[in-house]
Amino acid sequence: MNKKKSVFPARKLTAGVGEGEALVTENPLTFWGGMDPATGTIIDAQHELCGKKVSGKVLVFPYGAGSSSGCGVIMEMVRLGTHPAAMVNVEKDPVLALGPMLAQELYGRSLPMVTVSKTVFNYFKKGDTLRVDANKGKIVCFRKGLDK
Amino acid sequence: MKLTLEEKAMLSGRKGEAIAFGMKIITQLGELYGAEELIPISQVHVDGCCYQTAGDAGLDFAEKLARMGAKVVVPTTTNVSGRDIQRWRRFRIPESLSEKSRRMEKAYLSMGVIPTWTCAPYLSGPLPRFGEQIVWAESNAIAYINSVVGARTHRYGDYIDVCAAITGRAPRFGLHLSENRRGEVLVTLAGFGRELSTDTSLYGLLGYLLGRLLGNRIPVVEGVPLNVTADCLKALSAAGAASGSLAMFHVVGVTPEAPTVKQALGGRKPKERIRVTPRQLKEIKAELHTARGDRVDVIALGCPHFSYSEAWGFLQAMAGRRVKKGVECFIYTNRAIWGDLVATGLARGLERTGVRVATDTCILHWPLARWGFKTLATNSGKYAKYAPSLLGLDVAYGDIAKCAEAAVTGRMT
Repeated sequence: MNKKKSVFPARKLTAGVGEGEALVTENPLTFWGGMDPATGTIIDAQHELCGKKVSGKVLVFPYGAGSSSGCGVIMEMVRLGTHPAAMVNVEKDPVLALGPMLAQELYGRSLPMVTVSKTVFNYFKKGDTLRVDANKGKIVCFRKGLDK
Repeated sequence: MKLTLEEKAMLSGRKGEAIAFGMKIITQLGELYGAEELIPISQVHVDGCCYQTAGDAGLDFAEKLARMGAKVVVPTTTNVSGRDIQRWRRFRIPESLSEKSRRMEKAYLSMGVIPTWTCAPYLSGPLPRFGEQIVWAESNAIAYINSVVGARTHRYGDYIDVCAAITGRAPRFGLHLSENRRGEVLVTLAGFGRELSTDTSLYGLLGYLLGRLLGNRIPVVEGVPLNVTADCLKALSAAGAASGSLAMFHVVGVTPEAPTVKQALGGRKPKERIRVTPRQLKEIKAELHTARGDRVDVIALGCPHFSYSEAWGFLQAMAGRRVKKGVECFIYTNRAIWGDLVATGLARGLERTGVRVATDTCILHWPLARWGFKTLATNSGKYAKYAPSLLGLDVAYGDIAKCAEAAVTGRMT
């Protein structure tokens, strides 16, 4: 089976490199009250990804919604090791970015977070494997292709 | 980001580990916000000191800073704790939770915060003046202090507030700057009669509607009576910041940056005009008032924390009657107001009605459904929003007088 490899530019919000299967949604994600940090599962009943586990995945969503306590939920996930491998957004969300920043200081584990253009955001889909390198400002996307 | 020599020294660690930590976070975040420099700030209100919200990671954060020897460099007040610090046993708070709360309180106290433990720091001191640059977290307090007092804070959240308190700095951006504080949407109240002066429950509904319609855009509201009370503006702030991201609003002729519509809009044309009619507020009420029948079994007042005048109004509405057997009525306030109530004898009056007053904390962290309660009566749009999801309760919404009737009769009509 072929794998198509593409490289896209990304802007760093928080440092680090992370790789995993893409979990993609066009709807904003609520962390405080919408995510269970103990299991790394989305519990927002109104969200299409409700019930999905984010741990170890590359979470692709436009921006964070809801309470500013969302950054604390991310810190708690990093503390428990249930956090995603990386997060890719369209809009920069400093309040959410504070989560990985502080988690790095507290637990020495990085959770890279980047923003991309809407066009790049639209390219990613379920089943892609993404390697997010926030430090170098790029995302490598591996897509399973059909044999030629 | 351009830093002064002193700020560079702070960042480098020459002024201590904790200040360097705070400076690193403030500058990183400031860059994300697009700020080019920092400004000195003169006061902080810290959120995130409630264990139930912040969790173990929040406790790790506070204790790590405390171990580093962090000290606040400006007067810093604290938001609610997870418990009534003196009377937690009386309110059935589990020992384990109380212990985690105690550790959280201890970590912050070691940094030199003022132990106000209140979500309404604007009801007691220290108060910033008009135009003062501050860093406040807790959404209702941000909306109130920006709009009603005219002190300047951006919409801050947990942790950055602490970093600001130990460095005395904030990024120069957002609502710190005049050009970002001007009104964007002109909201006209139309078709109202005397009720805007008599029915205080309308302001929670109005706030809720504004948050819902505007997100984080700044409204200029015209048509509010000039004698509107601070309590009503408190209700508006809390509901708007809960249903949306209201961090600043203008009320023409009432709030200090809005002597006229023109000044509130900063001389520009509004980006949008909205008419608000009694019918729209009725629709919001229908949405918040989820109780089907008229029975209620718990009444909660003081979200944000009850003011002295609200306690006074409640006692007058009780008119010497007592809370009905089988019904609980909780009032939440802060210690400064409780002290005033004790001094004037109103506290004794409240206790005689059978009301239970808690200080330092918030009902949203109490497991009311597990205690067997089903329907909550409240005068707060913010409680009304969160009670179904966070507490698992149905809500009956009404003003303080209606809540007092509910306490006496177990019914709200």
